[in-house]
Amino acid sequence: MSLEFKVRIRIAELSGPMAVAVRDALAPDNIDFPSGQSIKMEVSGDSLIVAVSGGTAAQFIATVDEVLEHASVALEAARQ
Amino acid sequence: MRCLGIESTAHTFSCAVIEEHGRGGRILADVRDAYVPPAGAGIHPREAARHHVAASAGVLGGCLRDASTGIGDIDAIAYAAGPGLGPCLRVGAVVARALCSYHGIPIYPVHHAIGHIELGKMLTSMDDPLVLLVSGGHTMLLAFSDRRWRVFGETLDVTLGQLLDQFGRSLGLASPCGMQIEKIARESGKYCELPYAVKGNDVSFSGLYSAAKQLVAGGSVSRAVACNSLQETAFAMICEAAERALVLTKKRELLVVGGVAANVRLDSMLRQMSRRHGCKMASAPIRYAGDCGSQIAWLGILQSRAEAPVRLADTTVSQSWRLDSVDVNY
Repeated sequence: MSLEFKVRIRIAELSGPMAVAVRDALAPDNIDFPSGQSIKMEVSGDSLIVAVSGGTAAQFIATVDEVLEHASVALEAARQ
Repeated sequence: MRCLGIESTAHTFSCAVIEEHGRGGRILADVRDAYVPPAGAGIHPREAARHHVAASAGVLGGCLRDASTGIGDIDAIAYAAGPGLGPCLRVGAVVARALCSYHGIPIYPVHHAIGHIELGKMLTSMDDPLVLLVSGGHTMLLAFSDRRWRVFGETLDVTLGQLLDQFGRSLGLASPCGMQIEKIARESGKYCELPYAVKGNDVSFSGLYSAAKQLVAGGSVSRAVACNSLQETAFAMICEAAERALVLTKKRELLVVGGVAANVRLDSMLRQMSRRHGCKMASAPIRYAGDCGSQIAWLGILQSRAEAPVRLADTTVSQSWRLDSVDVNY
C-alpha cells in the first residue's frame, strides 16, 4: 500500500478581485507537473481554493510550499 | 508611457520604472536586492527563489516610492520570462501577474538577454552594433539582421561569468566573484600560461578553468597571479572572437553588455582592439551592466510599441530560451 497525498487550501477573507488576482498570478505556472500530480484552483466568493494531489512526498511538499509562498507574494503585490 | 520592469532570473530581484521620452527612455527608479550564497557555494535555485519571495514587496514598494509613482500611473508591466532559474523566474512572474490582474495593467513577458542588449543600446546611444553579451548566463557575439539577433560566436561550454564564479568559488569567494577576482588580479602583473581555446568565432573555457584551478592547488603561484592569468587568457580569447566577428560583420560599433561588462580590464582590452579597427566601442554603464529591472522595463516599452499585451493565461516562464529564436517586431 502506498501513501496518497491530497490537500485543499482555502485562502479566505479576500475581496473577489483579490482572489481572482491571486488565481491569475499562480495559474499559468500549473504546467509540467510530475506524473500523477495535479493542482486545481477556483475562486469561491471571497476565497481562493487550491487543491493539490498526487506525487511523491517530496514533490507534494515542494508544490504546496511553492503555492503558499506564491499566494503570499501575489497578495502583497496586489496590495501595493 | 511608464513601464514597470521586474527582473528575477537568477540572484537578483529588481524592479524599475522607465518613462518613455521620444524614442528613448528615462529611468525613474531601479531598486535591487540580491541573493548571496555562502562563500565557496554556488547559487541554489530554491534558496534564491526564497530570497526573492522575501524581498519582492520591499523592492517593489521602494521602486514605486523612488519613482514617485503610484501603481495607477503604470501603463505596462514587463517581467523576465526567461531564460533563467525556474523557481526564480516564477516569483517575478507571480508579482507581475498579480499586479496586472488586480489593477488591469497590460503585461509583457520579455527575454532577459535581449533586455541587456536593448538597455545597453539605449544608454550608449548605439545604433547598429556588434554586441558582446558576457554574463553568468551568456557569452555571445550578436548582430541584428532580419528581425532577429543572430549569433556570430558563443561559448562552447561554460560562460565567462560562470568561469569567473566557479574559479572564484574554488578560492573560497562568495558568488558573484567577478569583481573580487578583478581586484585580486590587480595585485600582480605576472602572467602564467594557461590553455587558450578559440575555435572560429567560438570560445571554450572549461580547460582554462581546470588548469587555473590546478595551478592554485599546486601551490606554485599566488592567488593574484592565478587570477591575473585567468583574466588575461579568458579576455584575450573574447577579444580574438570579437575581432573576428567585427571583421566578418563589418560593424562600426561594439557594445558590451552583461555583468562582466563591468570589468575594467576587459573593457580596456576590447577598447584597444576596437581602436585598431576604427570601431566605436562602449560598455553598458556599470550600474546597469548586470541584471536589473531597467533592462526588463525598457524592453517592455519597446515591445509595447509593436505588440499587443499577452493574455494572463499565456504568461508562462521558460528556463531555456534561445536569444536567436525571438522575433523582434519593434
